[in-house]
Amino acid sequence: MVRVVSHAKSLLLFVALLVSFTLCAQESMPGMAYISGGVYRPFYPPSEKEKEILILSFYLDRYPVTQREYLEFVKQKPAWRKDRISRLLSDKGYLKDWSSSLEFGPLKKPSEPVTQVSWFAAQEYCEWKGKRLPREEEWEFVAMATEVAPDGKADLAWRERVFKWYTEPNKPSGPGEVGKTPSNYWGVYDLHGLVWEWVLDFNNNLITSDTRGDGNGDKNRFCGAGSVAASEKEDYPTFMRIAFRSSLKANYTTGNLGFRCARSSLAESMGQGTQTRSAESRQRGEKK
Amino acid sequence: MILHKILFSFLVFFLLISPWARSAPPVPESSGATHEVLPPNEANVGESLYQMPLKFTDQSGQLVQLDVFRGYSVVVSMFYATCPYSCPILLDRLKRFEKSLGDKKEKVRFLLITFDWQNDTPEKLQQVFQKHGLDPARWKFVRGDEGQTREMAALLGINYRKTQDGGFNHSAIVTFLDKRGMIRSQYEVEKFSATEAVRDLEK
Repeated sequence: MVRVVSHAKSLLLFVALLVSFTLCAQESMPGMAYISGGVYRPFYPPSEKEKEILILSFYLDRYPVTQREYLEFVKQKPAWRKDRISRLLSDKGYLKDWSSSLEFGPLKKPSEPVTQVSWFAAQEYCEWKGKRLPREEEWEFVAMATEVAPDGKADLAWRERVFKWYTEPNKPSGPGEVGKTPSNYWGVYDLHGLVWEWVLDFNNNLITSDTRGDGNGDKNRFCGAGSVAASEKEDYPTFMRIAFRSSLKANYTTGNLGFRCARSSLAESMGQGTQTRSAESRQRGEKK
Repeated sequence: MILHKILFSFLVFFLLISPWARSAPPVPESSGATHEVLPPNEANVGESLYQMPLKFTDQSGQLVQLDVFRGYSVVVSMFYATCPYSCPILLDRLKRFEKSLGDKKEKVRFLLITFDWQNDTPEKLQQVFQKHGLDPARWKFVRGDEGQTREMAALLGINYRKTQDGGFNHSAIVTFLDKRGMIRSQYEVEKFSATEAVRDLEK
């Protein structure tokens, strides 16, 4: 069994490497950073076997989606105007900070990240762009990079800076514009310091296989026992993100929750769990 | 408690006198509605899940839409074929609930969506379906693709993740939809009681 697993692992690694090399030669995606993948060690491993998760190469938007970009989406897809959207897909807070259905208004800057959007809305936006939301592990993998290194866990000064943002209250003036602070190792901006971001699998927060296997469910992740099991005890920001995500429902909106999109690279289009939807919805996505 | 009993007997009474013609599905109010063509919120009936353009394949390999049981009270939940603990319990509870409905079961339908969209082929779903001796006229096991599965879970407020060993961690929630596809009530499987569910059905 163990041997099979390790074989599978090395095969996966081989495929990942192969794909990485192939992709190095490819042209880059406009507005997106190429993430060549690597090993992600979750702050709270969901199981014994998931202490190290292989991240395949993918693309991630360099910036969170801005007000201007989202306005364009709403203009093209009127069903997502705030006066038309169904309550099923978003709560009442949807774009409530906009001055009208087709204007974000004078209080917002065009290059501020859009907030007050639901998971459904974020998901639809990304599909419209021919992209998808990043998975939690992909997002976290890129977010652990400092300006100079892919893994900032040992960089205490950097961690201190990140931590500081998470302890600051939201500014009444809004989050500020994207791209005002240096990009990280991957060329990605604003993963910390601006807004929280939706991920594809925000609703993945459970512990053991099958809920009955573990009557405690979420409690294990958040009460005493859970935090002792965490692999990096000082990593409060990750902990806060997990807690925050687990408090969300797909139609929730808040003033400090935005999103950015990702795109799978070759490995995934070859069938490693692609994100596809019904024919209509894909057509709608292409109606650009 | 007594009040509950009185209310319950009233409900049962109304159920019994209600014209049986109602068990025939009414003409869909707006067939093929997607959220693309919905009128503004004020005029919108609101939260019908049937506005989602979700398509699945059922245990007999047929393509079905989420609103396949439009016009009925529908019990919706998620599961997967190789699930060791909670799914058999879920199915047992739902079967017991169906049994407790007696004649009224004609008005109720059961739709179960698999988490395991990669492995739960119609054949595999059919095996579990038959093992439990379910009536294909009233029950459907279906699977979508990754996006549809995730969206379905999001709509039902179900959390899940795939584990390394091929299983799924998931919350076990039973949702009751009314004839138009709006969520009427939700239960954790553990707390699901057939009596309460019956009470919910014909509000």
